[in-house]
Amino acid sequence: MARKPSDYQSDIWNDWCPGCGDFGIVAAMYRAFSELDLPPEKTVIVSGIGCSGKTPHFVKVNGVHTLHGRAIPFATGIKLANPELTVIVNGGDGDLLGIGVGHFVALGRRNIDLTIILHNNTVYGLTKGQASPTLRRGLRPKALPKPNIQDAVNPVSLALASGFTFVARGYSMMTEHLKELIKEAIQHKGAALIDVLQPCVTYDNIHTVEYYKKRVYKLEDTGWNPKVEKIEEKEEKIVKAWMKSQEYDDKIPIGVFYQDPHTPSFEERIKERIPSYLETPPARQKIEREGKTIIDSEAFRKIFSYYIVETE
Amino acid sequence: MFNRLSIIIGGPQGAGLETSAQILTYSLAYLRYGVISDREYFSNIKGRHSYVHFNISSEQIPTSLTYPVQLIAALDHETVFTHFDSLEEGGVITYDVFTEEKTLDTTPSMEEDLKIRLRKIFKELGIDGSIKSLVRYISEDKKIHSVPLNYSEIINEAAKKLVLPASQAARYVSSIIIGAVSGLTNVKKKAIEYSLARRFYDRPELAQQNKVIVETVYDKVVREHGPILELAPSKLNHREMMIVSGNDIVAMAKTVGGVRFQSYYPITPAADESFTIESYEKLEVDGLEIGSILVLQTEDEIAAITSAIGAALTGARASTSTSGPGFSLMVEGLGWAGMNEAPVVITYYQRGGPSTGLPTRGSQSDLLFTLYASHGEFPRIVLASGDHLEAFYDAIEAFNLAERYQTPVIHLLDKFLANSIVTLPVPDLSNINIDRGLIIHNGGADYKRFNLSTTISPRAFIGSNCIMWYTGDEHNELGHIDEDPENREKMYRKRMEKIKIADEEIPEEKRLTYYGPEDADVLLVGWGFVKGVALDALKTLAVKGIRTAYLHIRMFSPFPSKSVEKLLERFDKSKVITVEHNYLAQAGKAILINTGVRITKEVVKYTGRPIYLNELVDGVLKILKGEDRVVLTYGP
Amino acid sequence: MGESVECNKCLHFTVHPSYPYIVICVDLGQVVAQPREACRNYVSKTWDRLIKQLSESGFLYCVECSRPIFNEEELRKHKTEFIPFEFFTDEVAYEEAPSGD
Repeated sequence: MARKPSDYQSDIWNDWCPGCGDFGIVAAMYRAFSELDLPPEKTVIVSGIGCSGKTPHFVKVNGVHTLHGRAIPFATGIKLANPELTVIVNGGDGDLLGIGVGHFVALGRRNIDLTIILHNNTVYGLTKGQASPTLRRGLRPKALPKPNIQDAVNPVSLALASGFTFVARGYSMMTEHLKELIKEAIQHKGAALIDVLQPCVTYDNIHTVEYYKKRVYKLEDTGWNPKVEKIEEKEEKIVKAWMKSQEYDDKIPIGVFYQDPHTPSFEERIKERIPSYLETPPARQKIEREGKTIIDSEAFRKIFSYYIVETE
Repeated sequence: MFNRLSIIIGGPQGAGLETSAQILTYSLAYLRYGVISDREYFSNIKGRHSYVHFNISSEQIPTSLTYPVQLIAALDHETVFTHFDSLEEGGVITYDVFTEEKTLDTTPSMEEDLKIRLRKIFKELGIDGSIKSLVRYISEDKKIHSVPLNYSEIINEAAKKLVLPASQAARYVSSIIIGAVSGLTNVKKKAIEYSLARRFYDRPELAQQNKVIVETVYDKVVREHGPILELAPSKLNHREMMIVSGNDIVAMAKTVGGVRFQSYYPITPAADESFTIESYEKLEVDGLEIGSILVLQTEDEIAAITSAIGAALTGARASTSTSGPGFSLMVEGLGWAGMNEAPVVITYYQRGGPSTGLPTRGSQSDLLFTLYASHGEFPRIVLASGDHLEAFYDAIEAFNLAERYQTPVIHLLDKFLANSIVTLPVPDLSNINIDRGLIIHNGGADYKRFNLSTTISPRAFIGSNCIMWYTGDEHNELGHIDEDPENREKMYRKRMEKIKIADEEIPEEKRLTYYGPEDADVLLVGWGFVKGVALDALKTLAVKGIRTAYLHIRMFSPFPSKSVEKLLERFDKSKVITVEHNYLAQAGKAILINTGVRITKEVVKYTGRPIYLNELVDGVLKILKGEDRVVLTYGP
Repeated sequence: MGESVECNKCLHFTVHPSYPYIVICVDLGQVVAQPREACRNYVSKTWDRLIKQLSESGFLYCVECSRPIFNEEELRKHKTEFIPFEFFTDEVAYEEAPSGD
């Protein structure tokens, strides 16, 4: 019997602000996990710091709540050591695009099979509403003493430039749509980003539910085809997706911007070098025999013969 | 005939020196000599002065480096300028006659400080400062035997006989040096031939070309000068010898110890270890794969430690390898591992700091940093190895301790060890155990990662049959955030008490070693690479009638407090001396913190060069004459 | 409008999440002392509407229990409790909230 969305709800009291967009994200995750019937013990949510960082505690799968900005490298270690796990990263905009942006870019370069759910609310919620890297210049959410004078980074554009092979945007108050994006991202073999627009009810009086309601539209309703059908199309598709990502004022597109199933995942690249990698990854190797090393003296001499000189 | 020889070969970095050193070391090992060699080089790819300082023995495997040296073999003139002063009376210098007109003014790669010092010396000596004048002076006044060779002529002669590919040019100069050194020390041609064949196993034509040059020089040197520095036949009887750097031996140890995930960000002097592991990523014996290791080059050291922790949570033995600047970045991750009781190993090769400091030079200045790095309190295990063999066993034990006590382990090494190449018997593997600690494979629905019923909770791997939570926040048994004061106290104590358990379980005699006579008068206290030179100093001091012992500390956390305190009580306070590669005498501070005993005498060195036997002995003598602190500075 | 309806059945009706005794009409943007007779902007908060809202936004929030509601089953449990359709933005919250992480 397939698992229900409620099977993924943990018993922990959720202390996000009433009405927070994070609830929509976690609701979409419950539904997506259920529809994919993910085994909780083979699923891992890795998060950073801040409101989004608490996500793993509210979901009944393995949860690793890490350091500010470092969810991606923690997830990288977990996934590469045991690639049979489904690993999802929940991070805020400050987390993934501020303090942790180097890891974000590096993930694109590697194309590891991870799903990144970016909680994009333009502010640092848990430290009182400072400007996040996605807050546009000139804006002044109510907690800011002065308007923001730094430019915003566009998560979709950056993901495309970094090499992510699945790039999408969702909206936390359109849970069914977001759920579908999460399912697609998890099923995609490679680095997947979902930039989730998410109103912060306490600190962001600009990007409200009303604000997004007026602007958000679905790419799929316009006949958008994000998929690189043949590898030759890659350049054309990525340029189109990037142009589309720049649309962010009166109208904000949501949906899948870009999907490239051709670029090999990092796991496949490792397998090229270590053919046994997927069958016996680091986490599933036996490293001892009755408390002794599997490399005995004889094996040692054979493996490291380069360093051993037979004397005269 | 010599039972012991110190040799320096020097030249521009990246131009043949490494090959010379390697071939000579192989040859010496083949002939069963014991060798230790230290590499000194600048933070530079090619062109600056670099040298290898050998200590060779026919009676034992030497553990320290010393001055003066008996032979200098110079690939270039900067080597002659830099090292002429290090020659023993009656020693030998071999150099290129082509460089005889060179002066400091035509040595742009040399640092101005040294030039200033040398100009002053040359002025005092009344010489014009050319290589020719300098060689004449040391030949006459210091009875140095000079062996001038015409490098270009030798290579041109060889080129007439052989097709010498230009791409290998630096190797031909390196072969001249090999020929000169082996001829002067009477290292058999057979040994050189063996080493060349080994070195160029995949390019036999190179072995042949270099052999011709080596033998030409060898014959010429023997013909014209004789084997002035002939080594006595070796009394050692090893049937096999390993030739390894500190980086190599740690890489091998990790492989044996079961590392399955190694992450790193390039940094000197740690990166070679990861390179070596990567070249053995597929562990094959007789064509059969017995395991594999994933080596991940990360985008920074933060990713290096955090990805290693991630891998450790899934059950893979995981480690990262770094130096000071990298460890500084890892500190927050270290705290997360402490908070989450994650077994991760950090191999830490110290180099000269602070900041970029002396990136290619050695140091032991990060001990206190290592012991206290990261905010908050959590247990950690800190091992420090004194030589290659200790490093081998400690690198394996580091994983056992990490998993047994579910805590980060820092394995402290230094650049001296990382880059010094030694001959070493193949380590005995029969006594090595793999201890994975308390692991639960069947956690089930009620699994609690931080179960408080035992101090060390059974550890299930992510991906096994249960689910678990981890968080950097204070947490409850399940791993969920919990700020309750009672829970806080219990969890805090649970973590901290693990170090108490480790302290009870790990015998103190494994954490320190006392060398020397039981009734010694003088006690040297040290750690890390100091071990080798301290052990040699005991012998030299004994000859001078000073009964000296050496206390080697191999684990700083948990600290072997009882034994150290008891040992120190036995000695007159004025005769206990810490010997360290830092300014503060940091191990002395660690002893004070852990035992309340203050050591007031110290011999320290922080120039980035290793402590040499000669200067350590002098330093100890000064302390015994009443000085409190001696700062060593020898070595270019 | 036949019989009189109180405005607490209206979907514009909400309460302060921390102080449920402060009653607010999000349509008017002001505190309404207590439920009164429905005005002409009244929109009935029917079960079907709640279900629809739950399905679209993925969650509702029970102010009385301070718990999110993610599915119909949970909604049924909170049926008699107060579940607002919308949350008003409390302008002072940011001045009052501490820094938390």
